[in-house]
Amino acid sequence: MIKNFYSKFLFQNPKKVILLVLVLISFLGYYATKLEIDASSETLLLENDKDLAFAREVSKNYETQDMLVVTFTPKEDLLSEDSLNTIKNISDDLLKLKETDSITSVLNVPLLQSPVRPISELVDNVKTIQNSKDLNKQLVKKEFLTSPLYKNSLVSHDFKTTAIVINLKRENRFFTLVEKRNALLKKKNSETASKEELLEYEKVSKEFKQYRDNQRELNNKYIQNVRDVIKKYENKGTLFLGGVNMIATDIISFVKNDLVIYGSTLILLLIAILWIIFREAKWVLLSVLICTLSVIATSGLLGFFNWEVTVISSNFISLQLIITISIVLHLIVRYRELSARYTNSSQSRLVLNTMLSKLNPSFFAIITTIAGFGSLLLSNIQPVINLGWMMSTGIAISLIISFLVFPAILILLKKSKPNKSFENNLHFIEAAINIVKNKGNLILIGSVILIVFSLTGASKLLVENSFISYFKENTEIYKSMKIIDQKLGGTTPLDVIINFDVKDKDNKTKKVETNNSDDMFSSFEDEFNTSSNDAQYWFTSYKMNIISKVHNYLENTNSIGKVQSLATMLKVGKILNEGKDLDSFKLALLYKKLPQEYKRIILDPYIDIDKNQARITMRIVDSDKNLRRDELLKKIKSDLTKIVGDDNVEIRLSNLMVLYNNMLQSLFDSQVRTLGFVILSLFIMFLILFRSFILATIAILANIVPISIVFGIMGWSGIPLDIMTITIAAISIGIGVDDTIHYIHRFKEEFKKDHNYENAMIRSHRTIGFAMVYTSVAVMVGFSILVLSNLIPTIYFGLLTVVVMATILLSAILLLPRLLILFRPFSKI
Amino acid sequence: MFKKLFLIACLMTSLFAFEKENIQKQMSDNIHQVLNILKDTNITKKDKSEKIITILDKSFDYNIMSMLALGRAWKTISNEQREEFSNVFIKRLKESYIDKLELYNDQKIKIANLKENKSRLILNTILVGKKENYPIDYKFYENRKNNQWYVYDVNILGVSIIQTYRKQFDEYLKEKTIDDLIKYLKEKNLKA
Repeated sequence: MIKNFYSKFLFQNPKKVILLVLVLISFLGYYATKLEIDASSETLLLENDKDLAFAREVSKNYETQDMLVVTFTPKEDLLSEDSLNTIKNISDDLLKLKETDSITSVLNVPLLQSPVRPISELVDNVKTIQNSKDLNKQLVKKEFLTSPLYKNSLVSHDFKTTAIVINLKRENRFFTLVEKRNALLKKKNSETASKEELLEYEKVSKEFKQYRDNQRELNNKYIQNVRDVIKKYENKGTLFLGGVNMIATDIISFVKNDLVIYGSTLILLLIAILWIIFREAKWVLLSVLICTLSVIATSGLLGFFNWEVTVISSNFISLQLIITISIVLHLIVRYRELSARYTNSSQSRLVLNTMLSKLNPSFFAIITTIAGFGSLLLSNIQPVINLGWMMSTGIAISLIISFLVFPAILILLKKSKPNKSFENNLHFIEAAINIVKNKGNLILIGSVILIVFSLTGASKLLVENSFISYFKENTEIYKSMKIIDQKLGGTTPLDVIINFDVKDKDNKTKKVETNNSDDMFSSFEDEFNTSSNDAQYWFTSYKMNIISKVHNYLENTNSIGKVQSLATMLKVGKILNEGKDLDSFKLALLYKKLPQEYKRIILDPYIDIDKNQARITMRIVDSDKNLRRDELLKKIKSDLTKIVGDDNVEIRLSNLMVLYNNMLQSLFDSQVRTLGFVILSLFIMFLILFRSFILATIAILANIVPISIVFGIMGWSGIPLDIMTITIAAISIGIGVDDTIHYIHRFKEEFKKDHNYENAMIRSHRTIGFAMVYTSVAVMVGFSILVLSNLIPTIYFGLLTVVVMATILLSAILLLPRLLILFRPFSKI
Repeated sequence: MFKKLFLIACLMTSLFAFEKENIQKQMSDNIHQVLNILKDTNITKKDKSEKIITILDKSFDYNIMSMLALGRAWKTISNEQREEFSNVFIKRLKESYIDKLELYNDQKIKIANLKENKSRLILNTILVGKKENYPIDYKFYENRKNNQWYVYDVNILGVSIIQTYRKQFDEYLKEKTIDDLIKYLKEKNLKA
């Protein structure tokens, strides 16, 4: 059937086939322009994570605002007229931008200790740098450096750097849409949704995505505007822009750059490599054409299905290039081999034989690669699942395009004698043949050493995701994150939520029934009960003690930066109250009398009286090398449970730190699951393909070595398993398997000729061996360009891919043939 | 039972309370006395407190205050516990009232008016500050045995002193016993 398709249809109408492919791809090319990149934290979260729902609820309750931080290290003294004016001008400029809600800076925070005044006076008139003329700057400096409210967050401990915090307007629409969508999704998942609700769900999901896309655009523009504002003041000192929102924006810009710069450079490098290998323009052009068409088609499909490119899938173009190049090179090498051997054959015969002999191994190579990527579908993280889908679709497209375009173009070209100058000068293959023949044991020992190296390395593997280490040290985002992280209180937000009075104990006092004879008592009771739920009476010493206990514990825990809660206010209150704790009455007074603008800063973010809940916010020092995120969270949880053991409260952790950690842990679990799944499914495929248990085992063994080396290198060199590196294993399986299948397929053919294992090996090396070397070299050179990226994970990705490709090649050309010779699996052929 | 106790409590109370028609005048006198003491720079803080407490003792019904602060728990505890609780609480209450007076710095006090609310009387006074006026309300109830009026609560800026205690004790007693509470208040008194 395939033979007929080629000889009766494609060879007769090659131009029509090419035209049809081009039309289809132009159609997809239009959608490729709609390809979106989303690197927001939203894309990395587990959508069905209970903690995510909780974090959103907290964010809604406390009306948390997204914020950006401008770090300012003035040339002059921080409190000099000039510096304060600069801060004022920056603030004014930023307030002109419509997304800015408010600015918090040294100018407008309440000064409570400059000098220390009785609380009665404070309530009367809160001083700030901005509203007071006659401030004692020494006292102000001392307050900023020592006040629990400001030290290490608003100013650095050396008093050289200050934070200008930009509070962004709250987007209530986001929460409305999320709630609407999740409510419908719940119904959908429990299969109780009506037809209308399902339609509504689709509508809301679309709306939500649309909204996020718009927000992303707006966010980018806004950050650009903020950067423009900052630029104006560069002569006044060192200014950086940082904040969690920035991470996403900068990653997007880096990813876009990488896509454009490395995508195109990769193509140029491939052109150079192909030219060096084949010395014929047609092979270079043909390879590049098929690669380009495949990438356009896949990008178009992604655009068509609205699949967003995320941090995780940002390498999809590079991956697709690797796999396409590998398919095409195998075809080219096979064609050249046939045309050199059968000089009298017609072009159509040569092309037909090339296609037919390569169809089976290529098809299986692609199917197994799809299995490798398909394993990513087992993860719980949408972007990882998407990468699985993207790559599986992309590879299938590459296979189809290669098997249509390659023969259709080749049939239009004249036969030519292949230029074998490169092959003739490549001594690598002969050296490999020698090693397999004469130094078999060395190969086995080497493999065992590699496996030991990998296993020991894998045991050292860390599962960590530190955003700061995504960026090179010379990037602005790195510098700003470092300052915020180390001088202004940390980066990744973490909340501890305390719910008071969780089990309303059957209090014996509740059982008291008042009767009429006690009307005096009960009339008093009625009077007090009517006002007992007034907000100002919420501040009881029982609650304050718990908040303070938790706060102090967190403050003294390593890797935790700035901790803020109601306890911060209590500490300041104690200073103002001559060293005595503020009692409930004074707190109630403060609550009633504090002007709304200061309540917003001091109380609102930390208590929710209606819910009888307190919130302690902190930031984790992301750049701390000793930080083990999962352990830290577990420790906090268990320690706090002990600390408030008898207090009738419930403690829950929330915010990004928890969400990222959940994502990472789930990634790690799915990595273990997927590796198991992949190895098993590959084994089954090998069984189907080779119909031999021994052969399937040999093939798996030859693949396990290069796969495991990824973990070995990462473990030994301290590269953590994170959202980027986690995909490398799946990718290396995908690529590695191709070589194995091609080689075994060829070896089987060669073995049939004389039933001699060594000769079969030598002949296979001298034919398919070249294709494998070319594929690997092309990919290795191409990927070495990624080392120049601004994103560290991309650099790791490039380096590890190069190493994996080299190991795969060595494994397929040394270990695999050695194992074949050792176990003699073809005795029955 | 409660009535008897109430009677004892009332008899224990000092007999310096007010008659309805004198409340405004006498309270005004009391308050001004207190202000004079506060303004007097020749007296130590400790002496100031003692003098002020002496004035307050005439008009405050501490026993009712103790009962109200404990709320319904009052009825579930033994006489000994009530007595012990009242002792430590009254001490605490006086301390904290004196503490609140420190919020005062040289403002004037205006006696505004006396309002009747059901069977209670509320005397509104105003602390006149530089920028703002702060309402301080004294709440009176009538002891039916001697037809005298006593202060049972003070609202400063809308915050009731007794209510803040009620909330605290109510929460405290959810997890702990009355004896724990007495012990806790004793410790607080020692620290003060």
